[in-house]
Amino acid sequence: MNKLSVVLGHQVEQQVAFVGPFGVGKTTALRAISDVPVVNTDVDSAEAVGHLTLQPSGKTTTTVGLDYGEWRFPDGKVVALIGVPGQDRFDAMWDALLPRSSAIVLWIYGDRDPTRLECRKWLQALAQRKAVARLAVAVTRVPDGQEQQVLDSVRELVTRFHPLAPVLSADPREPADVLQAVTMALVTPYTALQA
Amino acid sequence: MDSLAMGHYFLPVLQDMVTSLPKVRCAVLCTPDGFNIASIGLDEKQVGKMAALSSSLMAVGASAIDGLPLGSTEGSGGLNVMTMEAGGVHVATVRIQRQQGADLVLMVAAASPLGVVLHVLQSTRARIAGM
Amino acid sequence: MAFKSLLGMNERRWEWREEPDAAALWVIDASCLEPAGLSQLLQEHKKQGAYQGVVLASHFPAQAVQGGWTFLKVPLQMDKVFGWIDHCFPDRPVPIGAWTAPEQPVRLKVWPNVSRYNGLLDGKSGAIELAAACGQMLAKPCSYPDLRLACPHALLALDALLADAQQQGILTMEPKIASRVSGQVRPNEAPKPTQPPSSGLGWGLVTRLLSKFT
Repeated sequence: MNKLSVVLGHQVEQQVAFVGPFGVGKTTALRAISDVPVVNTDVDSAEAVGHLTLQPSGKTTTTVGLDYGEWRFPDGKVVALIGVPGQDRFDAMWDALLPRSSAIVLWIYGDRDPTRLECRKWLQALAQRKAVARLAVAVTRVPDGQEQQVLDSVRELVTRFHPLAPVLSADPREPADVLQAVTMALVTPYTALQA
Repeated sequence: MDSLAMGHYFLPVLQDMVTSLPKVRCAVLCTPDGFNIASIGLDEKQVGKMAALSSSLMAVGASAIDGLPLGSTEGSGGLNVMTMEAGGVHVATVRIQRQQGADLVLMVAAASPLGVVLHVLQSTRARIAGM
Repeated sequence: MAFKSLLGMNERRWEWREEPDAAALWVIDASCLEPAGLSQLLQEHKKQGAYQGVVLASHFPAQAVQGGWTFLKVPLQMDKVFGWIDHCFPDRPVPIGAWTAPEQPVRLKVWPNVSRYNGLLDGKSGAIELAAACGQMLAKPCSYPDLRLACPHALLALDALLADAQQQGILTMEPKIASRVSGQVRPNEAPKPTQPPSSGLGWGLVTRLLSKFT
């Protein structure tokens, strides 16, 4: 027992959170940029069938706890990268995990939800938790030739919560896209909307 | 107090717990939002994710308890302790409300009988609550 | 890849064809060829009259220069590529898309779609540099030389982004300010990003990420 190692304090100085609806690519995006294998709490999901998000293995899964990855720096500091489950029933997790995040990337689908109901729901949930100031919205699966139209519609909605509309199209498999989304969330200026 | 100072402050209590619990594997004291304060039995690479997972377990467990159709007196006060078992190792986690200071989460894993683990965990919780 | 991305920035509509006979303009990527190999390649593809083409190369041997071909040095510059395109289509009433470096400081009104320019980047650090530069331009007016210094791995992407932003009406030119450093910044030294008041941690992490991914 005396040989058990001791670790005091944490080297995790900041935390970046990925949020968004089921199957949008949060886990994939974490894996694209994490220095360590991403701890993943996916379970088989009955919900996935309706969304046609089969994994390469053929399983359909959803995240029920959190995904956890890290950036490690030469001085020993660590930045935690977390993926937060997207369904409403996990909103207790959002309360626990979002307020401490230095940056939040909201991932949304570009090829569905034309009325942007899902996106609006997420923005309202983030606004309630005072998490809009350091936000970027990453839009996946933007159909070819519709980039302008899709992004403009998302921007129009995001502007109601964040006047500078930090929105980009992004492929969660591409490290450059994911890093840009995180950078946007970290550095975006923010002016609170007048009530 | 920063996390390192807190780690030094609570380490003796954690060490006492680990000493009095046979076949202990590890113990983690962390914040409710998943940052390590002190751990025993884990290396640096494991600590970050174990602290995050411990806090997430408690958050999800508390929601589950709150959602159960319990009576007005049953289940009052919310989640008390969460236990898991794997291959004879018991893992028990509690949230600690402190008289002075922020809440903490304490997790311990040991191959002792569950009753022993819970007894030691609860007495450690009482000590930390008063610190 | 960079050439195709630049074509996407040009206002004209393009179709990329693999069959030479189906194309009006040819592109030969000779960036990995030695000069002797380039000469031989051009001999093999010698066409006169109906076809115009561009050769992308790092080095141009004198004997390789032949009628009908324009040579563009790699790494590509947007104004050179667009200038060649405009030269090929002089009768088309399409405004010249070449970006003219602004003399006044520039400022963005809203975030552009930064990932659109990722085909023009040099690595992951370029992606971070470009987004960080936009963050600066949203916070305050920035001089073009300072922006270029802050984007060593995203120069082409920066020009393309600024050109688009101006066309979309989200880029403003600010009154010139006395620059304290324009004569003093060394070419290799990137200016430290200005930290917006409430995001000190954010800029600090971005600086760390740039070191990590460069």
